[in-house]
Amino acid sequence: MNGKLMIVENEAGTRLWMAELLRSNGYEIREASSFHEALRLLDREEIDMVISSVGMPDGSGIELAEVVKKRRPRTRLALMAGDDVEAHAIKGIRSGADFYLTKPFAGVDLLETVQNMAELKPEAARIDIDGARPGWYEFVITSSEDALIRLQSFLNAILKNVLDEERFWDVHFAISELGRNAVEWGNRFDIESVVKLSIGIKDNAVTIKIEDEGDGFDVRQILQTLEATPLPELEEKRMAESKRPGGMGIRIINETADRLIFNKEGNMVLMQFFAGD
Amino acid sequence: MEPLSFQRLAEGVRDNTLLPSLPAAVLAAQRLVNNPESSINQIASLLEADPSMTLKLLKVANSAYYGMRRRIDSIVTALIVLGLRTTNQLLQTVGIISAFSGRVEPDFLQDLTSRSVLVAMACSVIADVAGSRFNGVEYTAGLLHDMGHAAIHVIAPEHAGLLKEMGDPFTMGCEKEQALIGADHCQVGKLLAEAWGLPDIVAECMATHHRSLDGDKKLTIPGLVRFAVYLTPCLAREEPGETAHVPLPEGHFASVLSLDDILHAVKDRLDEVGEIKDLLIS
Repeated sequence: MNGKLMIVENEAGTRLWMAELLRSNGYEIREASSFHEALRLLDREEIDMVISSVGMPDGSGIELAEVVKKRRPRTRLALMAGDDVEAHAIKGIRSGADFYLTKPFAGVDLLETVQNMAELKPEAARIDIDGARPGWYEFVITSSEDALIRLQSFLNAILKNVLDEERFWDVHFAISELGRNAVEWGNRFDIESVVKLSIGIKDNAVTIKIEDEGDGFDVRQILQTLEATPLPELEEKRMAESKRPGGMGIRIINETADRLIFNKEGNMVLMQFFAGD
Repeated sequence: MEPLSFQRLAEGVRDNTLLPSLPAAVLAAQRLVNNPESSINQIASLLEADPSMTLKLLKVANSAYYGMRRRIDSIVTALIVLGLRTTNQLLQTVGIISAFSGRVEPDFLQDLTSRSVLVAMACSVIADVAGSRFNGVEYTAGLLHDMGHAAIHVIAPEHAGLLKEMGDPFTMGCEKEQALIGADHCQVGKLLAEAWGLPDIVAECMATHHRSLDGDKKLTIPGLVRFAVYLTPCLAREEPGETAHVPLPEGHFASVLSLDDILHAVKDRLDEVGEIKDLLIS
């Protein structure tokens, strides 16, 4: 058994589909069709994970997240919503929710989110909001992949709202790749260090800044080396060395981003992606 | 020379034609940046409409401090590079410089701004070191604390000239100012704060930044500004120097902090952003 998970969703069809899928994947499921039913279940039983809709007639998932995190800080919680995503994502982070799932979602997205919840180490996955204005967000995260994956679940909601699917994946990949570089190579997984990630969305452009506290690296040299090698050859080489496509990621982003600017120190990167016509 | 009466000061400060107001464009931009409901679209559009403001922000985003390898050429990109906090601080600093530019001697304005930015940055850094967040009000209070000096220069240039002849107006102290011209920059600062409609807490800082540190047991914004002003001679030195030279009253909020850490953190920050400061002040 993978743990006890409560689904809080007032829409019966969605709730039943989710419950069936998660049961067949080894989770013990509790279902609540309303905010208040969820509270009653939480009072009665030890729940490991909660996945809750944001908008319910008798209360919001964000409110529920606040209650859950106050009463049982170790219980993991993911929010799911499909409208007003920007505001919900930011309120969700502030409420202490661990993940965000954008509706509508596929079964694979649900399973991935639940797996991320199960594996999350909350002490190493802190997200602080340094500043938030509509279209302009500044986050500070601990140097861990958990924190980055957590943050990306909320960012995905914001980005899916403004980008078409292809462009969304370009941006998602870029944040994932350069965010991991910052955590892994910049801050060397030092949990005392932080990664700052800012995002600006204006008109048809998404601008992202990622900054770590490390000594930086020689981006030019890496790009020159990478550019001298065709992508398939590079991929093969990295695979043969059992390496994730670290430098290759920069090469791909260099091709997909409309602007990619590093600072001279090599510990801050600015990327800009245009949404298209 | 007749001493400056409180009445003359008050009339001078209230005289709309005499003292500058904070530039409307800067105030509007600041209001937008401070409003959590303002979107990046609104902020960028307003800044783009003011070429001098756009130029300043782009200059800073392209400065050696940020060290970007390629030119930042759009206001949105500059905003993302600078961040909300720095953008807000820049707007305030530009606003103050613009307000007094052309109304006081350039050398005096440069000295005043340089000192004010130093205290403002020190306030921000000390608040960070102490783990307190005042949402940027500490920077505003630090930046504006000495504006009473500028107001005296505008209202009573002959008295300001006398102060200058008698020593460094910034280190002279209120008592000597009172003795020489019959008023001090803290009194004038308070009047100015009222005329500008600044928040009470900022007005209090302008009025009380030379008071004793004795009562500052808890960290407050006025106490923070007093402490930053008190540290200014150490901060202005090339090396922060021995903290033994910075005695603190018993129970002062900074007693539990390491003064070495504070002084070095402020110096480091100033070294880091020195070019930005110069860009703004020049």
